[in-house]
Amino acid sequence: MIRYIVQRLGESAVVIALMSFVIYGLIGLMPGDPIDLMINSNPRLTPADAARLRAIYGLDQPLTERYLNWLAAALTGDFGNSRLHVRPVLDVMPTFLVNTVYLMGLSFVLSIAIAVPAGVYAAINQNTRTDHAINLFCFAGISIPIFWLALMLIIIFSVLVPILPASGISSIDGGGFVDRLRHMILPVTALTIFSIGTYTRFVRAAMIEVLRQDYIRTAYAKGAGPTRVVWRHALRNAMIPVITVVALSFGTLFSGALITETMFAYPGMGKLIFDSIMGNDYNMALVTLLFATIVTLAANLAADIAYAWLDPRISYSSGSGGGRS
Amino acid sequence: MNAPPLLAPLLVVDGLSKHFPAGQGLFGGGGGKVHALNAMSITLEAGRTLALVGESGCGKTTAARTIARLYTPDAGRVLFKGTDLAALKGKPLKSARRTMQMVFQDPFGSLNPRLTVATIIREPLVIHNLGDKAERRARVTEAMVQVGLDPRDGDRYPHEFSGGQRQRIAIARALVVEPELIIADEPLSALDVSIQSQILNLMKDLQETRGLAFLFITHDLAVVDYFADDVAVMYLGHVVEIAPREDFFTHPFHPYSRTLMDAVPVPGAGKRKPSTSPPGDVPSPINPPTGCPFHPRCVRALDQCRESMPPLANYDGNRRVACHNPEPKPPSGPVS
Repeated sequence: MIRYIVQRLGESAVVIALMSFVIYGLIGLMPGDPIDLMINSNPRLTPADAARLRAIYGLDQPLTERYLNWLAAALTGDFGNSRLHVRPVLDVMPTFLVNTVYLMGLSFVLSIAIAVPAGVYAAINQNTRTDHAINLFCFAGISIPIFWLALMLIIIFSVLVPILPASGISSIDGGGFVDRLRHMILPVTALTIFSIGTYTRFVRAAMIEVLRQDYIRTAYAKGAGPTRVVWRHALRNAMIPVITVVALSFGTLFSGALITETMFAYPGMGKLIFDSIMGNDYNMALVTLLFATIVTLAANLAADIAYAWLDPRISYSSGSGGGRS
Repeated sequence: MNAPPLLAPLLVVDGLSKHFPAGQGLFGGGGGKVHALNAMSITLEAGRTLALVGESGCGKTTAARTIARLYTPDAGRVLFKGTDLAALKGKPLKSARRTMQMVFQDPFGSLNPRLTVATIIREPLVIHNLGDKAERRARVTEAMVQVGLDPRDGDRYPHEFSGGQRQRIAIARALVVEPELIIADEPLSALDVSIQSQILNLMKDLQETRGLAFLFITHDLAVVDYFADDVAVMYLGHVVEIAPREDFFTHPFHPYSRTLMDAVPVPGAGKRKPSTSPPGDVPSPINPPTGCPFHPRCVRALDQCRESMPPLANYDGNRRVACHNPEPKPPSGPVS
């Protein structure tokens, strides 16, 4: 098992290295560079000044050269300054990251807490009216564009019935815990409605599959009641496909919900990534995108380890693979 | 074979029927019904084995599951030790059928892959709230030893065992609550032939040492000959013949029983019997033929057979046959 984890970590390092080059290259392909922005904001800058500035920042060198320079600095822990925030990238990011973890974490916990019972209930009562109602809600959540949902929430709860703040993270005078929470209600609601549908559908599908298995009938034949069969025998077996979806969506937990955060002007990772790309903030965009990659890789590794924990048939140690008979 | 005790039978199935909705459309309803089980009546005494035989799709498995109350019957009674299981629900049902356990066909699918073997075998004790922790452990160990498993393997998972061992686990799981009746739904058909005989001998030993009754569902007449005391033949949801094993094998009365018997290959060159297999396929249970369901394929069919279903009636002493025109009775005196 430990060997497997070490091997996976090694593979992840290679992926991260490759991704850093890809992201760097993509950003390099974007039209304009910081010097163009300087020229725009300062008409007295001559082309000669611009060329000199490009030489100072190393922007006149070919892309691979620039990447290697960045990599050399990055390996020493220097990820450069943020152009927009005028502070080191690593100083800026944590605040945004924490905001996002609050927002996404809350909606994540909420959607799982609602989706698992709803999916299980729909699976047990397959093709009943309740099941159809749950499905309808799921498809609505999946199909409604989140920006529209966000706008509707703002219009209803901030404009028509102004009981909740439309944007930001806290009132101007600071505000306490309750104030922070009030600011999170609308974005969390939008995100939860958005993600609940997918989770519920997956839980329902996995449960239906498992409830069809022979060992479920065995459990009933033993005399186990429906509650015991569902929670002890079925749900644990149904969790594997669910874990996969959850793990894949876990990456977005830290990279933030770009659209939602932008709609609600919520200062999280999604908004940070969006602003840094729009504002040609190379260093910031690079680090935030790379961070999203790392989190996604970590979540997938965690999911693979969770499989082994949930399913004794899955074994990662060499030589003791299952299925001998 | 032990002589049957003259007590009230352990299991009496009386007019048991089960239908399933068929051809469900997008919005449900629509289609007809599958008559999987039609007014089944059988009796099983303690310590005896009744084999339920018939082709695939004849309703054997439905019968087993309805008797065990995995399905709710549409009509009829299941008297187990004098209690009607068909009328019970929930807790009373659970305790009433504690001493009736099932063993299923597929030992690969019927064990929860997520639980250790000891947990699987222990679970019936937990469900029925029997014994304390130490007692449960002792009973699990005892059951494992009885079926020929090493109790030290209790911490392993089902996938680490072979098919035969898994079926032993399933039997141990059934034994742990000290049942009086085991309903075995084709417990051998997923196993290799060499393993089949081991499991069959295991069940036979258990029957002799613990006085278990078996309702044994199979399509293998060789197994029936070896293991059963009585035979019930099913065709398309109907029991068409019930007979003691020896009588059944020497002289089946229902034309369908006869064709089943003739389908068993005889070893040895040149011993091949002329084919008497019935023409055509098994008719659809959604739209069964009128009258006797076997009449379209029956060589002895009469006009009457197209019109009315013959009842299961006494014939030649203690035999029971549902046929308007059964095979002739053997000449009186011992059949040799």
